[in-house]
Formats: sequence, structure tokens, C-alpha cells
Amino acid sequence: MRNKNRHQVESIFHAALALGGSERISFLTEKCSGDSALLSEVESLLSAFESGSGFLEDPAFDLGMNLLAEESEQDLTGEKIGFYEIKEKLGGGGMGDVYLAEDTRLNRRVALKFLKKTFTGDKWAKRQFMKEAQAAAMLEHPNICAVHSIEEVGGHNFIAMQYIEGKTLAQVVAEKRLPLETALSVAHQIVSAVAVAHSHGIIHRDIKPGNIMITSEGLVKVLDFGLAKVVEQQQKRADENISQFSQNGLIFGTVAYMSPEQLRGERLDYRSDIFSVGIVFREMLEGKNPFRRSSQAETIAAILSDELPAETENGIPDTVDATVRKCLNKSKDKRFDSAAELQLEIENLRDGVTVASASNSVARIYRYAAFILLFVLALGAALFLYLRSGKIPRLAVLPIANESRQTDKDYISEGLTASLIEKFSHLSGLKVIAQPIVSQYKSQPVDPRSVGAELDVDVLLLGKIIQKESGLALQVDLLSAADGTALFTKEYAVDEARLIEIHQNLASQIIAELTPSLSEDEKKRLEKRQTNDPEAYALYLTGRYWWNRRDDPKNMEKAIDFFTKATEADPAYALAWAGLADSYALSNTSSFERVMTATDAARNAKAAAKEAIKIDSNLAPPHVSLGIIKSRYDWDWLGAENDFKKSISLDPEYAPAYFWYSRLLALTGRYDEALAYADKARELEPFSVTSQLNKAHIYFYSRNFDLAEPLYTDVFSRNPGSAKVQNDLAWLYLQTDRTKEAIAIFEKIRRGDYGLAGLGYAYARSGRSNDARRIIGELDRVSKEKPVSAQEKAIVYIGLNEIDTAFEHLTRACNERYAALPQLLAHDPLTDPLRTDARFAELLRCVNLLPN
Amino acid sequence: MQPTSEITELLIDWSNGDKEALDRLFPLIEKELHRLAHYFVRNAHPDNTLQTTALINETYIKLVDQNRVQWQNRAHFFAISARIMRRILLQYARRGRRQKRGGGARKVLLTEAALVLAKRSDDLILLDDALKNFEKLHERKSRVVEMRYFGGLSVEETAAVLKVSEITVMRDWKFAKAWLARQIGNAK
Repeated sequence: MRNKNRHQVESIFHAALALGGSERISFLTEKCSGDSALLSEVESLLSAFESGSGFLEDPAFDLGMNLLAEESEQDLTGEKIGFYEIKEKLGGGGMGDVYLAEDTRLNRRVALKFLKKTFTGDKWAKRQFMKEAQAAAMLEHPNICAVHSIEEVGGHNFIAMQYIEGKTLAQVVAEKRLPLETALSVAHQIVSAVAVAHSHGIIHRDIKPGNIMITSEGLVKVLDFGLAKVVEQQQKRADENISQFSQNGLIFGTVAYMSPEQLRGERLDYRSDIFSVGIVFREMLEGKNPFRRSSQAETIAAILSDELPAETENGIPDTVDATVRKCLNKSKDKRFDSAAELQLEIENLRDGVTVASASNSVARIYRYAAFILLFVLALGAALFLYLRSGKIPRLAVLPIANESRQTDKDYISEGLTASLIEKFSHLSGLKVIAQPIVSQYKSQPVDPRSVGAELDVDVLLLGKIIQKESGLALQVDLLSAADGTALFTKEYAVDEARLIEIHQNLASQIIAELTPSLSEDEKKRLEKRQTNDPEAYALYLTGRYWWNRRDDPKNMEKAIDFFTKATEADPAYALAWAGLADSYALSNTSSFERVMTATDAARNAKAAAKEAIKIDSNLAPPHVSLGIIKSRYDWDWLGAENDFKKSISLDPEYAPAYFWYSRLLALTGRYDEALAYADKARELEPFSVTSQLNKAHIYFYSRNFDLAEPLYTDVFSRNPGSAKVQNDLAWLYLQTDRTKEAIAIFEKIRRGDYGLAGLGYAYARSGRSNDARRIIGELDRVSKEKPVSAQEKAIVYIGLNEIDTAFEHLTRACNERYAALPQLLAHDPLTDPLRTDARFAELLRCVNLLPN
Repeated sequence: MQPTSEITELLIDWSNGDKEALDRLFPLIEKELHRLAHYFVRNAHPDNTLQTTALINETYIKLVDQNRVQWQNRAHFFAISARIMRRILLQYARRGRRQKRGGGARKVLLTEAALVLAKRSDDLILLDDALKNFEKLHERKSRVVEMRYFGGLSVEETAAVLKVSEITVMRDWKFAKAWLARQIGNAK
């Protein structure tokens, strides 16, 4: 029966393949009538066929031959050639192998590039090679790898050059795409090198990330100037000699960075290098070569005829995008005329970016922070003028959009939005609604009447930061939802000199304006600042910005750094201490890069929280910090609950209190309350990814997977780059029998030990127990470098159904007081298979979730 | 005996139905592949990604006495190379994966082919596993994949080795791609 069936599947498959759309559907329905197994078999094959475009298209034979060739190359390590002692093979390429060597005359380390016999074999070739290599050796520039000498010793021909310690740009980009400023800096250095070479009449011809080194100081060195030409000439001669080769249309080389004219075999000029630089530039910004396809033929076709996608990703500013596009014009006449011109253009771009760059300069942060403080006060004034008219409005603070195209200004727009919400939400008689749907109202015209109706508010606050010729500016409108009229419209230049002036004049006016309509308490609150040091304030805001993005473990480090600096700038800044306490409190998370032991994390966090409370005992945040510490490290659930309640009573508008309380409620099985608190936190803290995820978690832990999924996917769609979000989604997939999808995610997001336990568990569950064991080995290895909780291995053992070993490791996790253990034990579906075991009750007692 | 005439003899024997000839051909051709790879790739080009299926054609012409064999024997020669290459690639892929996994302090060399392999090794291993399963159900179709993918044979050459029509090879190829894509998709 199987055989007959197989035949049937095949013939239906082929016939259906020839049909499209509705025809195919009706054909399949007819042919498979009633046989749903047959239908699904054919359909799955068709869909695999159609989604597998490019699959198996590129024969692997060539790859194998290349590997064989590389392997069979003689290794010169250890040999002494002339004055050079060969130390280590650094790499190999078609041109020849590169070794690290010691120059015994000058006692310096050099890189030796040995050239294959073809390039030096006969007199003609040798003359050509010497000519070109010597011309290149004349080039002196900080961004060009210096050639010391061209030598011939004992039958070896090699170039001795500067040894550069660093990575190739290819390696750097393979790790991650570069931030705009870095990409501009690297591009500028490459172009500087190319411009110098061009001015000496040398075209590089082989600019590609593999030929560009970056030292640990960020200095760029371009390698192999002029050598590509020798190789090309040599190749042409070889082609003439072996006619079959050219008939076969062999295409040599890494084509992915070649200009269209180069691929067509035309005569090249300097503008060919400009095209290649354009590709490298774009690859740095986007993380991938825009023309690279799965096969060489497709790549060539793409370079010759594909236009770049109109949309830029990753927030590349238009000006930068335009420059890259100009480099990548198919027609060389439409590119930059010279590298020097491109160099100038990149300098302009860098000015545009760095002038307003804030992230790396405290002085600049200061500027914006002072501005935010001022702006909140000014807007308060406007709002109260409106309030005095007698009506009690509901106000929606729409997220202030950063339209300056400088993504490193996001913290200003966010900080501003957060400050406004925070200030206004404390005013009685005013209902503030923070709209969490960031993207919905961002960067598009808003009709105040319809949005007002939708959000059920009377007043809308809209703001955006824009780039003007004179610098950054903030535009603000306070709009009446009833008729769309502006109650307040103002544009502020975000300008340091003017700020101080405005600050002094306006602040006193505003206070005077507000006095009659505010209670003493409210007035105090509005005026109150936790710090008078704008630098500390800016550092704190930046800390919170990263803290809100703690789903990426790297950002937690930044949060700690900024909070620490804020406490250094103003040691009496209680909020900064609280931020620091919060950050330390989470430092015992396995995914955290500078992971701390539970003891260290708890000790640091407690010290910071106590410092904050000592400064101001009526401040809500440090109480939340304490609650976090008690729930994560002391497993003192009652104590933590009291801290959260205390915080809420001190400040009912402080979002994290609700967030953490919500988690505690879920952990102790009070899911309905947990959901309500999660909503409240989310409303107050719309930007926090973890806050967005919280509700999905609660559904997940209460086994409402179908309710959790749309929430996860929603958060994912808004934070597609977040590994944490994908990690959580993968766990959901595991609970809903989508192991394959889960594995794909874990494999993608794993970094160090992050995602590793999940991957191991998923492997185990899909029957790949060898792979799962391999993961256990990897966890062991990582644990030699940093603390890794026994819980991680326990998770894999649960997947492998090795219950005894799992319990052993969970007990260890409890002894190390691993912060995430209670969550796993309390309600993670993962531990369901263990729950009936007597040892499980023992564990629950260990984390204080069962009475002793 | 010179490798040329030995390979020629064995090829003729094999196409005449001598199964043992194949066993003796394998090591000979493997050795030739190594030699060739070294010679051509090292001496041909700077950038070391060259399309070597053309090289094997050259090799055949050099290694096998054209006057004594029919043109189909070239395809047979290719088919054997494909099988050998499959094995070689798998060895590399497994080794690459071990290195990736085991870490080892030894610096991994940054050749372009090694970089390409690093990206493809998991896929190669998955494909090989899938192909083994496929082989049990569809022997001929799996040979088509081996020759086309691992050997770079054209449809015409594949048809000649398998003694079927080109249309059959195309059909086999399409079905095999669908089946393998599905299998690999499931395994991932």
C-alpha cells in the first residue's frame, strides 16, 4: 500500500506543481478527495518546494575543492626564511598564505604574505608583480597597512608588511552591524586610504571587508593595495593559455564587492573602488551585503541590475543613505567623482551626527537634561492655565516622537515623555493617560478629535524632536480634543546657550502663574526635584532608559554604569541610588553578562537601597528596590509584599511597584490580581519591554497559552530585536508542541549561556538527546568563565526526563539561592512533571513557598 | 600502470558491470581530487572561490583516454567524484562543528572556504541525514541529488549515468528537493 501511495503522491505533486492558485486547490481537492492524509502529504511537499527557493541550487562540489586546496597547502610555521622566523599561520587566501613572523634583524613582528608561484613563476609575471607591489609599497598613510619590503628568499616570494593585531571588518560585521557613528568613522578611514592610493594612481580593485583590518583602538587598516591588479593580469594570461577554462566561463574571486563594470570585465577607473566602498559601507550599517545572494550567479545579477530597496532599515539617516546610494549607482558617471569627494561628504555626515550626539558625552547630556526639566515646568504652566478655566480634563500624553533621525536621541524623547507623565499624574483633578501604543501615533499626523475620542480624553499633548538647520528643536502642541484647537503651541530650540536664559525667566513666571490653582502639596511636588544637579539628572535618565531596556542583558550593564555615575555626580540623589539598587537586584540573572552571585547582588542592592531610604524615607522607589531584593534573594514573600504596598501608598503612580507586585502575586497564585496590577504598571510605564511582557507571562504561567500568544507576538512585533521576547516566545512554543520553531529561535538568540538551557531542553524534547547532552557540556564550559546556576542544567535534565539528576541540580540551585528558582518552581509549566514527587515539596519549602 | 590508463580501465570495467572496479576507482579518484584541488586552486586565483566543476571536466580529459571510452563514462567519473565529495564535505562539516563546539584554544584559520563552510556545515549535516532517509524510500532520486548537488553534474550528465531520460531526472530533482526541504525543515 505504501508503494502505491508513494507513487500517487508523486504524480499528484508533479501535476499540482504545474498549476497555480485556485486551479491547484481544486485539483488537489479532487485528486485527494476524502483522503486527508494524502492531501496533507502533497500539500506539505508543495509548500516545502515553494518556500525552499535556492535550496540545493549551488553545488557544494566547488566548496569541497576549495577546502581540499586549502588543506593541502604547505604550512611554513616554524621555518626560518632569511631573517624571518615564521611563528604562526594567520590566514590563507587565493593569493597566498599569510604568516606572523619575527624579523630577527629589527626585532619586530611582521606579517609575511607568500605569493603563489603563478604570480612569480615566469619573468613576465615577476616583473609585473614587483612593479605593482613596489608601487603599493610607496603608499604611506595611517589607514594603509605599510609594506616593509618585497623579498625573494630561497624560492619563496613574499611581501613583508606591518603586522596588525585586530579583526577583519568581515569578522566585526559578522558579529553585529555597526552603530552609525562607528560605521561613519570606519568608512571615513577606508575612503581616506583609498583617496591616497588614487592620488598615486593605484586602484585597489578588491575592497572588501576581508581586506580591511580594525585594530582594538578602532584604527582601520586597508590591506593589499594594487595586488589585485597583478592577479587579474595573471588570470587573463592563464585564461588565454587554457582555452577550456574561459569557455567554461569560470568566474573567479569574491564577486560580492565588485562593481558592475568590474564584473563585465571592463577597464576600471577609480570609481570602481567607490562602488566597492559603498557596499562595505552599507554592509556595516545593515549587517549584510545588499547584493549577496545564495549563489554567485545571483549575486552577480544583483550587482548588475538590482536596485537597493527603497526603504532603509535600522534608522539610517536619509543623508547617509543618499551617500551610500550615490556610491552604489550602477553607472559610474553618477557616483562620486573621486574618493576625495566622498571623503568630504562623509566628513559632513559625521559632523551632522556628532554635533548633536549625546550618548557619549556627559556635557551634551547635560544640555538635554536641563532642557527637559525646563520644558516640564513650562508645559505645566500652560496646562494649568487651561485647568483654571474650571474644567477637569483628561489628558493623554502621546509619546514624544524623535524625528531627528538620530536614534541616540531616543532617550531625550522618552525621558521627556516619562517626566511629563510623572509630573502630571500627581496633580489632582487631572487624569493622565499614557498611551502605550507607541508606534501608532508616532510620526504621523494626528487628528486630535478622533484620537481624543478613541482614548476618551479632553486634551492631547503632542511633541516631537526634529532636526532643523540650526540644530535640534522640540515642537509641542497641547490640543483640545473637542475642537482640535491648540491650547498651547511652542517650539523650543534645544540650544544650550538659550536654555539657561529661558530657564531663569520662565521658571519664576510659571510658579507665579500656577500658585492660585494649586494646593501647597501639589505645588511642592511640581517644583520638587530630586537633584539640583542637571548632570546627575541626565545620567539618571539615561540609566532609566537602559533599565527600561533590560531585556537585553548588555543594557543592564549600561544602566549600572549610568546610575553609578549619577550617584557620583550627586551622592544625595536618592532616585539614582534606587536605580542602582534595582539594577544590582537583577544582577544574578544568568543571561546577564557580568553576572553576580546571589550574595553579591543582594549585598550591593541592599546597600544602595538603604542609602536611598536614608536620604529620603518617603520616596517610593527604594521601597520597591527592597521588595525586589526580598523577593529575589531573601525569598521573604510577605516582607516583599509589604514593601510594594508601602511604595504604592507613598506614590500611587510609581509603575515598578505595580510591576513587581504583579509578579509576586502571580508567583503566589493570585493571577487575577496580578493581571490588574500588570495593566496598571503597563499604563504608567508604556516603554518598558518587560512591563509589556508581564501580562503575557501571567497568562503563560496560569496556563492560558492561547491568551498569552497574541500578547507575546504583539510585543515581538514591536521589539523584533529583543532576544528576551523571542526567548519567551520560544518557551510558549515548547508548551504548545512547536518544538521545531522553538529550537530555531533558541539557536538564533543563544549567546554565551543565554538561551542555552532552553535549547538543550528543546533538543531533548524533540528526541535529540545527544544534542541536549552537548548543551550540558557547553553549560559546564561556560560555567568556568562565569557563574552559571545549576538550574540551567536542571532544565535540560528535565527535558531528558532524568528526574533524579534534575532534582539534584535544582537542590543545588536552591543552595546557591538562585534568584530565578522560585519562579520556576512556583508555576513554570516546565516543572510540571516533577510536581508530584516528594522532593518537589522539599524544594518549594526551600524557597519558602510551602510552610515548614 | 599510469593512473590515466588505470582509471580508464576501471571505468570501462565498471560500466561493463564489474562492481568491484568501483571500489578500486574510489581511492584513485579521491587522490586525483586532492592533487587537482591543490594544483588548480592554489595556482589559479587570488580569491579562491572558483567554480571547480569545470576543473573536474579538465581532469577527466587529462586522466581518461578519450579514444577508449564512450562519452557517458565522463558522467560516471563525475558520479564517483560526487560520492567522494559528499563524504569529504561531511568530514569537513563534522570537524567544523566539533571545532565550533569544542572551542579549542587553537586559532581557526580564516580562509574564505572555511568561512563558507562554517556557515553551511550544519546544513550539510542535516542534508546528509535527510538524504540517508530519502535513500531508503527513493534510491534513484537520492542519487540524482548526490550527483547534482555534491557533484555539480548537469541534468544531461545525471541522466546518462542513471540511464533514464532527462525529464525523469528533472522530476526526480524537483520531488527530491521538496521532500528534503520538508525533512530538513522538520528537523530544524
